[in-house]
Amino acid sequence: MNAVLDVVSAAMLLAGSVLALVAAVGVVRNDDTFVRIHIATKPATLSLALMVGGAVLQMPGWETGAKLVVALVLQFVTTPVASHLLGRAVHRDEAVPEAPH
Amino acid sequence: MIEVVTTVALVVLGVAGLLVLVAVLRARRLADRAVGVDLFTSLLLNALAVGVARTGRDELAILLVVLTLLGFVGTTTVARYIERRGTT
Repeated sequence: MNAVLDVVSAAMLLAGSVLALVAAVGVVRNDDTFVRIHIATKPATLSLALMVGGAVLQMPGWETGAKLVVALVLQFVTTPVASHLLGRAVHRDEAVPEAPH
Repeated sequence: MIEVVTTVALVVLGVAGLLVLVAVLRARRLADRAVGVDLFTSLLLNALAVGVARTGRDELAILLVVLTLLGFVGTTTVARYIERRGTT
């Protein structure tokens, strides 16, 4: 049972890091700001969820795991808000109305 | 086994962090830099979670909570700044 949990935890940690690498490559390769925001938001939630899951499976108790889950919930709440604010700012900045003559 | 796995994960995260820094340096507008720094912060969060999995230290988990809020405040501030100033 312990070995199975170890393998699952290792798979989650590796999957999370590979997802983060894919997002970094995507941010380097894409020029559009909205696409970049879209790409950069993925690892902030899914990858961190995988990492926290992998870390919690390594813990014997819940003392540290509870703090990790709190951080994960905070990230799930704040990341969409932050990316939405950034996207709205860019959109309003691009859609500047023409100056009245 | 966990040492090997966490080392590999940290190396992959380090490569990703270098790529994101390149993206920040090559960005043409302020919003792109904000996105890059935000992604770098979440990579740092991932690395901290891997560190918790490796060492099991409690203070790293507290640091994770603090860094989450810090990244949110930073990105929000830049977004407000862009919106108010009207230029990138």
